Amino acid sequence: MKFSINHQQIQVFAKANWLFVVLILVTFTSCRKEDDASKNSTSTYVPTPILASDVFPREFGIPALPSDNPLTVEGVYLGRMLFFDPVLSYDSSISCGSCHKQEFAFSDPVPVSSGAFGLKTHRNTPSLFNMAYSKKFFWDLRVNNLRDLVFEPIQAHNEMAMTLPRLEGKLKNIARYKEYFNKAFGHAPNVVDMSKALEQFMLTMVSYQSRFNRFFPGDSIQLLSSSELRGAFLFNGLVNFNNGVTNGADCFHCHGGELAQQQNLNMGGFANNGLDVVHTDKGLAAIDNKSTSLGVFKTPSLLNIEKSGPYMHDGRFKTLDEVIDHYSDNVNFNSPNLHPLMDHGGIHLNLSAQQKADLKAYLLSMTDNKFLTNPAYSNPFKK
Amino acid sequence: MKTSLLVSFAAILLFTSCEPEKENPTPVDNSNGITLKFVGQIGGTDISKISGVSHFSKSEGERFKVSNWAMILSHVALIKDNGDTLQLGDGYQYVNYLDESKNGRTVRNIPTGRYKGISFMLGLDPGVNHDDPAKWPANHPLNGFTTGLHWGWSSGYIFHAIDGNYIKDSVSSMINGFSFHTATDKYPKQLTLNFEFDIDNTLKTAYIISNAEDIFAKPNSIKLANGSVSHSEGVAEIVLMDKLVQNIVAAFMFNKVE
Repeated sequence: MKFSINHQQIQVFAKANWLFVVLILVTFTSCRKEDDASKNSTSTYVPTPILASDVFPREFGIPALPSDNPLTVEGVYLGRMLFFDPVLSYDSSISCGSCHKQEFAFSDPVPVSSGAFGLKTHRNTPSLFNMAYSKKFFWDLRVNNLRDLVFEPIQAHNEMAMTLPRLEGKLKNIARYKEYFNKAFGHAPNVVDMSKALEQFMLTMVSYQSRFNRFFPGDSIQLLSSSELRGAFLFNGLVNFNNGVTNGADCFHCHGGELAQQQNLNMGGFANNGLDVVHTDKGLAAIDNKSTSLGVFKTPSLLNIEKSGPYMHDGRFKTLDEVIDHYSDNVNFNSPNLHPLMDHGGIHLNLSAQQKADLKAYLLSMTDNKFLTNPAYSNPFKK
Repeated sequence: MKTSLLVSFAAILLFTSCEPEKENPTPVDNSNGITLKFVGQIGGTDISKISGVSHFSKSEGERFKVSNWAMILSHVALIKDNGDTLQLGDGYQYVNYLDESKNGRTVRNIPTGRYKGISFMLGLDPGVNHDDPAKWPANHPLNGFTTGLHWGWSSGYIFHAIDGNYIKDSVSSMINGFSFHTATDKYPKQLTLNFEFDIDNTLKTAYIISNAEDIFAKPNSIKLANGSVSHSEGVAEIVLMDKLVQNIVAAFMFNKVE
């Protein structure tokens, strides 16, 4: 049976009353999802793809990237603009880049940062790089990907204090965002694509050019000074007491590999490192409510550690010397859930002054000045 | 009448036209195959099903719990009825006993017939062990970032890792850590587990169980209070690791195929 509409039927349609017209209108307008309403898909612009092999160094390998958010030149640039744009905060006073400063490896050189309206963050601002290789984010590991991550500081009352409807409205009224959302995603500005653009930008933030990274394959020993080399062996050596002296500090289990950070959670990707007996900040336990997670925090990368102080989740240590002193002399063996590799049978490492100096020298070799000054990650609004 | 019919027609349009576009469903793989599932037990319970770190169990008079237990296998193969081996995929398998989604590997399109066991190597051949870990794709068992079982440096991979905490005896309440990381070219171990099973046109799962208690007890008694750390280096640690590896190998038990 062939379906057709004849002239008479058209006339009947034409005579239909207002209710019919309204229903038809409702039919064809009600199906537009809220997202679609803000995504006027009028663009035929094709964004320029970025090859993963052009972003990630061979030494690190290609990470597992989100398949639904391929890197593009336009997407990354849009993310970079958004990262540095104070328009993302309620009162347009701060951007992501206000607390994640490039010269400090995208961390903040204060124990806790200042958000919109002068409120303080609860924890130390973590550094940002090599996030493409991580699967958990924030000190308490509560978020699994970068696009979800961005909504937290944007909406936190003590950070950017923004609401998403207000943010979307602001973005829609800015010409450069109309242009670049369209170029990158083929849509008008919206918060979903905003999070994807920020994700793209952050995925491309790769730090791999420190002397440590060039030394790491182990065949470029000449790149390190004798002190740094001694520090390398101490860092990568196992704790092995001989008459109370150890020639290994076993830093590498949690901070090992080219990323200077254990990515596998069970292998040291998170740990209680013996700071306190009573944990005023519950850490991961506040997320998963497990007693075994009390005082457990994400293990940070030590790349660029020279620049990313103060240290620990609460920024309690101002200097690397204080950090080394903690691991050498002050680990609290009664701290609940102390990482298994940190109790050393209840004996402190008691590193000598020379060992501490060597260890510090090695840590300083992890500074990647090219990353800290790379214009690709800089504020695009600064002239 | 006509108007009301049209109104009804429009109403039907209203309530049917809003269905989201149906995406093509993910194709279901109905091909046959086998999943090799390695189950770690503590106190008789599958450790992947315990919330958080495992509870304390007892071995050699000491109470202990496990916070990490993982390994890398190579040359994973089925043993055919005629004794030939059929390597499963590229033969590599990463096992994280604590994660139900990472303690098994499925390989499909297996020739039907009778098989009489499985074989695998705990660890890696030296050439692979010292090769560049960055060359493997992100989700490959040998990608160091994925498993966390690469030493970094040039020492290669950790073949088997078991870490946790223990309490020396019933009197003491002091919680200590233990850490045993099996590595270096001294320790790859080839294993064969004999059990007969049939591969038909369905997906089978073979369960191989290890009990954490056995790793510290059979055949070698390992008291954690006498030595709780070995990374396969150093004279004393190698003596300890030799014993532990014997126990690890002995602990693999075929459970069932279903």
